[in-house]
Amino acid sequence: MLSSSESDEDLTSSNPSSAITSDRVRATLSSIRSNKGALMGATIVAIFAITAIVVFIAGVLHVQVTPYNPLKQDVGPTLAPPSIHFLMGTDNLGRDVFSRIITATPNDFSVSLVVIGFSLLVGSLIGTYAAFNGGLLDEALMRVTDIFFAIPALVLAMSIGIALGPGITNMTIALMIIWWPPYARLARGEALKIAHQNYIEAARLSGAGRSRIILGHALPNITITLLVYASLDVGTVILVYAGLSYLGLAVRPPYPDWGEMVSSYQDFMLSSPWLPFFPGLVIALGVVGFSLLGDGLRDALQGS
Amino acid sequence: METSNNANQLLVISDLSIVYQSKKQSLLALDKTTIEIEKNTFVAIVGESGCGKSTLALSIIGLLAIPPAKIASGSINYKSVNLVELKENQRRQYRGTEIAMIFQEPLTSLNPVYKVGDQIAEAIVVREERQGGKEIDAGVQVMQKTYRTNSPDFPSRLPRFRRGALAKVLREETLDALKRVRIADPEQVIDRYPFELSGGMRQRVMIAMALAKKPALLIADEPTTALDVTTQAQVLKLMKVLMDEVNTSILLITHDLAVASQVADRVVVMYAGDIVEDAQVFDMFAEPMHPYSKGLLSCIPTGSKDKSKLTPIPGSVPNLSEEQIGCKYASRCPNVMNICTTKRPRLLEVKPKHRVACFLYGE
Amino acid sequence: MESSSQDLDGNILVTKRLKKYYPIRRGFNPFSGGGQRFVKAVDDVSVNVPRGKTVAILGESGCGKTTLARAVTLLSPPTEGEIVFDGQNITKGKVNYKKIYREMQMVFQDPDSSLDPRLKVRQSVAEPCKGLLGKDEANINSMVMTSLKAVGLTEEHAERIPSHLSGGQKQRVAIARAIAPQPKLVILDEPTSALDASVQAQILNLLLDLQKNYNLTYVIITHNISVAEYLSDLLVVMYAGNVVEYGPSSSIIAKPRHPYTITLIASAPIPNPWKRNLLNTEIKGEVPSAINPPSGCKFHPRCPYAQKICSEQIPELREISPGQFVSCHFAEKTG
Repeated sequence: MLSSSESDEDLTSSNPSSAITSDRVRATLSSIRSNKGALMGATIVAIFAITAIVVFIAGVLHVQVTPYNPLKQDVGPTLAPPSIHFLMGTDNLGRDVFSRIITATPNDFSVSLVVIGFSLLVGSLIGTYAAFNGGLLDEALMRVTDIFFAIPALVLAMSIGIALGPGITNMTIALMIIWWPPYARLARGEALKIAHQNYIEAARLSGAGRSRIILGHALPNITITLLVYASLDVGTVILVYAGLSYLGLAVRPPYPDWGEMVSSYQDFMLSSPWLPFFPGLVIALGVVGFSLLGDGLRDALQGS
Repeated sequence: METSNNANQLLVISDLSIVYQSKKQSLLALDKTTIEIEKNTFVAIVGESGCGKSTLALSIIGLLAIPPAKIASGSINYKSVNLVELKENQRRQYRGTEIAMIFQEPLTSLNPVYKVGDQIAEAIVVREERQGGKEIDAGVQVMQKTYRTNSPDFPSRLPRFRRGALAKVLREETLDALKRVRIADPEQVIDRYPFELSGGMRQRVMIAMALAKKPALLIADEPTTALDVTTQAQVLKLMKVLMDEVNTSILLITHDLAVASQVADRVVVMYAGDIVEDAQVFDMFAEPMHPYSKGLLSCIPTGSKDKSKLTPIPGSVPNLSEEQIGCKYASRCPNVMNICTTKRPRLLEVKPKHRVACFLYGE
Repeated sequence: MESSSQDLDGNILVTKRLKKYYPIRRGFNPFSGGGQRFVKAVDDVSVNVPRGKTVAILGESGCGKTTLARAVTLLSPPTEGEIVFDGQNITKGKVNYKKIYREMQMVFQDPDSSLDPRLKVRQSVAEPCKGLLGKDEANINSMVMTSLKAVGLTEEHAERIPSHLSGGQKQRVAIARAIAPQPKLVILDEPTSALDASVQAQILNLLLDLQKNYNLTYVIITHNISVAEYLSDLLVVMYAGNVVEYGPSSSIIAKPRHPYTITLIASAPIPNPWKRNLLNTEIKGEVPSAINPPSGCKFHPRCPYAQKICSEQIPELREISPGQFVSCHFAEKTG
């Protein structure tokens, strides 16, 4: 029998870490830190996240964290330009725009996270099962996703939304329904790539059934690709949801919502341009922040 | 280390050191390599992965990716011209016309969207143009006027060559190139796409392209590793035959010592960026001197398990991103001595035409 | 081939007239001339694998050796034919995969794709034990460590992930995983093709040691004649989905009888510059299409001994000398 000293080829650059995930996480974080764009994206997202959490908790506890009550009218002069007292000015009903924007944060944020989370979960499961099962399920999945691809997201969401009736919950459901097919497609593609890898066959030789192979081997290995795609996708959800709320399908007034604000303020574009500007800027920032972060994540996890 | 400057020498590499630089580390791929290649010889460079043989090959033909690679020192003298000092457009004059190269995987070396005949024709034209050939050159000049360009490498719009008198001459030359590599039905193959051909055929096409303008040196980087055994034999045979017909030297890069023994005139063994032994093939196998060469030989299974026992080499290749002191093979060498860990052995001519870098044979 | 009975004659594995055909998906052209076409990857193969021995399946690309391995392990079950493993016909009736895989395991060719990149070595090696034996944690752990030790790896290696291992180490892990559940038969698909010469030598010796210590039977798929010669007792030479020669390795390599085997052996590079067989071999033509193979003996278009009968009749495998079987009408002439 060979002794280990005789047969050991040592990779001197190897890192025998038992905490593999924390190793990877550290490497990913450092990569993001060094990438300026990603860092900016991460900062923006962090700010949004913290604001959302704070506002939400404040809401539950019935505490006001914003300078003014976002719903209260006439806290100041109407249509006042941005100033020290009203950082983003006031709107036509004398409400503080800044407070409204802050209060609207958990809205868009949570909707996008819920939609993406759902899509990731459902999409990856369905896509992977389709890839490994083939046959009818696979064909059916492909045709269903084809349909979803043929129609623009906003239009699809709108039709479902109108059918369900307006409201945040209904819109979120509508978005969830239309958002998962691309994830299923992506998961299917990635799963097909690894379906013929030797370790999958070895798993079969270890007595693993299809489900065990999918859950234990396939899904963990395609997660990274899906996560990268998801991180780049969050911004899109924000945009589509903003579009829906712009059309008045989501939030009911007087509760603030960025998209809804852009819609109702756009009449004042010429006289008080700050009104539609700030909510639009915040939407854009959200999208950009997530995109930058997604890019950085992709470079960190898949880059050379 | 004497370097004789006789007229028979084609390529003289002196003290060539190449480093791969990355953000985190710098890896010494070649460490003061010195070797000469004569005209009309078949030299095999043998070594395992990471020994630097591919780096050496790429540096001769000038296809090293210059960042991250860096030529730290040394010279590559081809017919008395130091290739290292040349600029890219000067270097290009040598590529294909004087020094040609074929690679391991012909499917990726050939352009999948052009017919095989067109690709060979392109090779012929480009080199003809460089060598100032007459017939084809006239056609090329017409083309240049049409496209209003003076670039020497412009003819990449291959289908255009199908027209006119130019086409006929070119087609003849292309068919000749295919016949030279013993392809059975050149008239058929000339119109095929790479994916329609087998691995062996593709490699023959590569050789046809490489030898199109009779270069003085052909570098073959693991040309048969991806081929079947029977195909490998045919391709190696072909290379030996062509060496005489085309009057070229062949530098074969391989990890397979057995292949080297079957075709080469001279075998050079490399380890971790160093040349450890350099001898005529019969000397190398009759009396291998360096412990690594001996170790490599005893790793090759010959005969059944009952009769011969394989003795593998213990340990593993050193990490070339760390500085190595002394002989790089010391940690695995059964004959290691004190001096081996402190000084680096020089490549010395211990017997006529037999060089070794080992303290067992003197300093 | 002998053994028309269920009695195995000391063979752990017997395949009888095994066929693996892959149907080619038809296009939508109604004029495409009807009839389903197949890629005949394995076309009537019968082999016997005696217990405790090593059988090498030797052949070049397209000969069907890997398909044969996958058919025998039921990863790609055969289209026709029977497989008798350890006394049981595993192609008939309901198949108990776990029972089979407890005794039959496989080592794959590519060390890079053999191991799940997200799992530690310990987890990969434990997988067959968990899935097939269902023992408890402590038991499995000891099985894993025994296995790793047997292939020359340590506790420290057990904690690594594949990207922190060299090619040779990965292959050792693959071997450790295969022997962990203590099978009787191990099928190895080109186990050393992707490795350097010195690493290959280590692995070959390891395989021999393991065979002795664990009483294993090996089926080795390879295109490398020197590896086949070194490791195997019996040699099966395949060409275009058929067995063309079969018998003791030393006999075949010393005196091959089938024209293809003759060329194959002669083409194998040996580290001997005084015997340059390689430069004297000649073979014309290409490997035939698996969809439309030549009629009769598939090698006949390339065979220097071919006569009319060769294109008409497929030659049977017959015993040309004690224990050595050839599938050739003119095997006497090639000696």
